[in-house]
Amino acid sequence: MAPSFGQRIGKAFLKATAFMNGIATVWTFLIMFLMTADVIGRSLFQHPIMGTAELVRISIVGIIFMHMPHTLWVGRHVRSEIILARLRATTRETLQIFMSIVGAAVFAGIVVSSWKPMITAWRILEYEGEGALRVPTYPIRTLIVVGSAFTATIFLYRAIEYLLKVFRAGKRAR
Amino acid sequence: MDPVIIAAITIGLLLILILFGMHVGVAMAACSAVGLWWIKGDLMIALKILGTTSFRSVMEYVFGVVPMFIIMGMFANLSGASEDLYDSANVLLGKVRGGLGHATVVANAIFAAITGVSVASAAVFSKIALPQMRRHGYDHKFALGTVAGSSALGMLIPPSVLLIIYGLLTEEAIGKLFMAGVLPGLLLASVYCIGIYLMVLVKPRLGGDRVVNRDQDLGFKEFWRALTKPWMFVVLIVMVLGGIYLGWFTPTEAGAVGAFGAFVLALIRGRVNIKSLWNVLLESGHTTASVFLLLITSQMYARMLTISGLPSATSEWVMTFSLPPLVIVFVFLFVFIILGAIMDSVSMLLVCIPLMLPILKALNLDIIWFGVIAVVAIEMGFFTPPFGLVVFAMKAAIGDEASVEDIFVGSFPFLVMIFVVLLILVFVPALSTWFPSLM
Repeated sequence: MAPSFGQRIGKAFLKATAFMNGIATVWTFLIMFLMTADVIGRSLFQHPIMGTAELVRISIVGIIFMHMPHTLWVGRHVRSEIILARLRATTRETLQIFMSIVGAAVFAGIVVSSWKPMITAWRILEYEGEGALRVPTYPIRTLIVVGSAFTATIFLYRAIEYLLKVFRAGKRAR
Repeated sequence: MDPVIIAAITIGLLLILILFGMHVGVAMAACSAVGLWWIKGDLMIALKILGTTSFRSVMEYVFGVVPMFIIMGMFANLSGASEDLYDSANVLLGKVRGGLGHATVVANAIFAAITGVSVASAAVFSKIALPQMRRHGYDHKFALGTVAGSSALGMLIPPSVLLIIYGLLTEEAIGKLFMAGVLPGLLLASVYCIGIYLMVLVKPRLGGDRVVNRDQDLGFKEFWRALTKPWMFVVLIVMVLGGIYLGWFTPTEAGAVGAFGAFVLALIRGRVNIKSLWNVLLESGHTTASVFLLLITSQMYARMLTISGLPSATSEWVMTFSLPPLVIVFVFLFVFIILGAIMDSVSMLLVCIPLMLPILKALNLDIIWFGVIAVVAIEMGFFTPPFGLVVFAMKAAIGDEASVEDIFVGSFPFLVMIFVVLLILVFVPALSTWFPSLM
């Protein structure tokens, strides 16, 4: 059976999530090298790499939000499932629906409140820092919006998944 | 309604949501937003805090310290540091009473200086130390307890993820907190060794059929080779911690240099290929992201609390009792031990510290000292039923060979030892504050 349109969208979405995660992974690794090179350059050759600290500072936020959706997808965000695991299946799944919706709402909230600053940052080409070490903020603001939108979508998807589960279980019971 | 009461209700709600399994970060963000909305009566103000903290709250150079030390630990693991350290400690201590137990403690203490997470050490040493102890006829529960107990060293001996988070929350220097953990970590390791020695002395059965381990009789050459096998890791540790101590580099740079060094060691050992490298980086990325979601949302929560005025109100209220400071400290530690049953350690710090810090400051207590004893108290929660985190991590690592009950029972003597160390650290603050004061 050929994959439906919805399945194809879903697959593309997951690929994009994993891709973002991969970029963030490589980015962190590069930062590790950059900082090491800066320390070696500074202490052995009296020649630090200018702008390392600024780059590290601004990179972290971007990296985090690129990791965010995939981390949720693979279930690595911190939660304590000890009580959840001991509940009745229907109760558990109903709770999961509620909690996924709250998750979606929180990340949608981040998207909504970060949207205008992002547009403004692009328009005025906003930057941080002084002189030669000016770092533009619009890429980071964009990554926050994109990463949060993806995370909200995954939460929403989970909510629907659990909803269907409860629905089907109800049907079977009847 | 009084904002203070609203904030108090929000905290109650937060604990309930976490208890029932909501993602801790989501619960903190949602409760802060709802709390603010309620206080200010304006949804837009509540929403705004989500956006600004996401962008602003972790955009500081110092936050780079978290991913770097996580990567360092992962690479050190990949390079096989733990096996080498265990073998080395084993040839040195194998002949002492309860030798394999001592070796587990010592190897853990050194391994703790490359990694910052207790749960990771517990899983690793379950696989290395347990089979050895079983082979030599050590008592099953005793062996389990030794591994569980020693993993507590991971959070105390620098680099420690918990101390890093504490430093970020309280704006204390992370370098100083690292140095503060050194002596308490060594004290805990020594108390363990004394405890193991006494336990085996009283009940020789615990330490295996042969108290003296004859098959450790190696020639001098083999002895020397096994002993010095992990020398590269020791060099790495000295470089990273020494560099921080001497002020050669910031903790963030130390993390990067350490991660790079651990990566090179893994390369030399031939443990790095595309797949293992990718797995390590991916795993670090997920861990980093999960810690940062907590860090970002805890800033939302802290901001909501500040706006509500709850922390200062609590602080004033507590001061009216004019209790001796130590009583308050013990109440706080008790809160950590209790909460440890339902929450992971990082979330626990993030939820509690914004409320405790104003009180500690009003009482003129040493913030670095409190950080160390808080970490030790949190460690105790790792071994207490019903939800001890380390116990379940070990259970996951060994599977059917041990029951959760066995691990809890086995680690009980070590829980007592941690408690003794906690009391010593509370009453002798110099153990925590002397070393960082030299910096």
